[in-house]
Amino acid sequence: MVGRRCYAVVVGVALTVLLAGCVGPTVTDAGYRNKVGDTARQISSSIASARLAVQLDLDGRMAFALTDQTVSDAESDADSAATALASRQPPTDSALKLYQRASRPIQDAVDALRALRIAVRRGDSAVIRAALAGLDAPQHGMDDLRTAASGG
Amino acid sequence: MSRLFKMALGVMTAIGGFVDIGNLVTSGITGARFGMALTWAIVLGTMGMTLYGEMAGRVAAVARRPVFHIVRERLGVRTGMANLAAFLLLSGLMLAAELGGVALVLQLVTGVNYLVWVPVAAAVTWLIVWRVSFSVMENLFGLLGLCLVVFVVALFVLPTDWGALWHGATHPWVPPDQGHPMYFFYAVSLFGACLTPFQVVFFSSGGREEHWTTKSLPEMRLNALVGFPLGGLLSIAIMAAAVVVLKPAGVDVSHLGQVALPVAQALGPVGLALALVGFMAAVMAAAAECALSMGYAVAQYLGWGWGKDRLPRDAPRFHLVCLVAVLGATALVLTSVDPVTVTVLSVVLGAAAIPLTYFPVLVVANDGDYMGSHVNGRTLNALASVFLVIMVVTSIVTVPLLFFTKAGR
Amino acid sequence: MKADSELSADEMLLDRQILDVDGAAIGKIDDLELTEPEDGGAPVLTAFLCGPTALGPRIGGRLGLWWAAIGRRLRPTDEAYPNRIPIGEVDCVDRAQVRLTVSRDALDADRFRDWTRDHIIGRIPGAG
Repeated sequence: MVGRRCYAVVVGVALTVLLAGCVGPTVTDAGYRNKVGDTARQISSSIASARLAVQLDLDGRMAFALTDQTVSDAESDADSAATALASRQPPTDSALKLYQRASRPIQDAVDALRALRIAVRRGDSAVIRAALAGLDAPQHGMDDLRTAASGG
Repeated sequence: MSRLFKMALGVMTAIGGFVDIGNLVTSGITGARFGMALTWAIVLGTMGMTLYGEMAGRVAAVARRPVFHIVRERLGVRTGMANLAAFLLLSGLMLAAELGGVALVLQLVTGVNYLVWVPVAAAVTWLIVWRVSFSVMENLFGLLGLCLVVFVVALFVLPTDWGALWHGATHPWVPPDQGHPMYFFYAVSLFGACLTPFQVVFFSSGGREEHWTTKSLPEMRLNALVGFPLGGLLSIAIMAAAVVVLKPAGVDVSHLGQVALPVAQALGPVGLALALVGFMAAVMAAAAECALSMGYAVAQYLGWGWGKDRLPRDAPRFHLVCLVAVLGATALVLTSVDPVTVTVLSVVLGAAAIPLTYFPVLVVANDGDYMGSHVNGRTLNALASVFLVIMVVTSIVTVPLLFFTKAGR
Repeated sequence: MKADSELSADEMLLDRQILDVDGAAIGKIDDLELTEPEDGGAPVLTAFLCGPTALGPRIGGRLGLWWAAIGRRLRPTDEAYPNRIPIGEVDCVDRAQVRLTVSRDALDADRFRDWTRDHIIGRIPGAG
């Protein structure tokens, strides 16, 4: 009896852990728009995080390891978000249009973060500053995308 | 060692010992996302921990038994076993989170991938459990954990708008861009991070390791009634630092390193180093305590000998459980599941099981046969019952919230 | 054995921690052995039962069977009867403790512990 109860507890916890990682399908237009908006939000946050870390580093307030880690994490998070969105099938025509509008800015953002990561690792301040400035346009792009996705 | 010094040490150890990877991660995430709106969850969790921690400590000092020892006597073999099973599962998950946390801090310091550090973290944790004396472990990590005070200092150095922070804390409205389910999910996570099941098992078993008696009650009470609230304050400071620096910048916390960025901004590399030392100490201590708690729980349920004050060969089964616990948790972390996700999951699932671990504490603290004149008073019981209701409510809403918010994405 | 004149088995006996004469933890009272006297009359408590073979049946289910099997495996003969501590060796039973008159070495209650020590823990450096 207790054995069965224990077994049930274990299965319950395992299921919970597994299902918590699952994402629902985006079969509706609204669901897809939400997904695009979420992706834009995540990438926007990654850009902000990388920008903060690099700015602090240029001001001499950081340790290199943390700067490098933060920028690398930002890049891989943005990349994962972009891939996750690309793997979803747009369910309607308007969703497809939204994706076509979104894919360029998203790719630009990922590229800009990659350029920043490379610049940080090379250590040349001028190149880093340039790469930092290169984040501005993608950041605006993400803001526009969030507005568009929420039906603006 | 003078009595005063000993008491001060106890308090400081309790402060540093309160914070673990769960507090660090959840405070950082919620500060960046919700501002100060979820401060109440930390306050509530800290109050609960203080209340029940004092009870568990009193039981250890007066009845001279740690709580889990009595669970089987009071609740019976089967309920006790269900309790033990749930405790081991959740603490195992939490141990995995702590080990992942140690590895993450080492990654932040060295730049080497955290997976490489996981076996190192596990080995050091186990060595602490195996041979390091109880008081050395407590005192060393407790004091080093106090380095986290650097977050409080940072708040004073940064252009902090204290009025705005206070306003945010006292007006806990759900921010417009976050839904209610997400808000309450993270409230549960903060609550669960303060009331981790292993904390109370460790506090009461630790009391037996330190041979508390009725004479130790003032000391124990100081630890619980001053140390834990100050630890809660520290968690709030970490959250506030995220509010001041990360939230305006639009940074969502998903990695441990981001939690330390506010300190870097305020105090530069020195402050950052102190923050990382504090992270390391708090999380490492928590890992050892969690592993020990799993050993304590099994040994106390089955009646085996246990304790760090004796040689391992004199409590072999206790040490075997600790070893297996560390190995199991290490295996889980090595599957390269995201440590931050594991941390959030562990505090949230832990929150679901809080009534299981904390209810027996209330039962025993009211048992006149064990507690004599130190039984719970009526006001204390009223307060503790209110908290029990809060804990049960939290426990009920946790799993639905977990599914609804997809673990806080 | 010294005790209050009347005890409730559930409250005072079952699942209580057993300490030997030196205060070392032996195990818990996992079950009770009651013997019916030959001349009829009420059953008499003759021993405490302690160890995996005694606890297994009380846990029940597959887990209980497995736990009891561990206890049986540790014995030289595959005997199913749980490890018993005769009442004669019990010093006192009260609210605070259950104490024996003998040391743990005189009992046969340490098979699991000794096995763990000899085969696993004792082999790790630093075991003392």
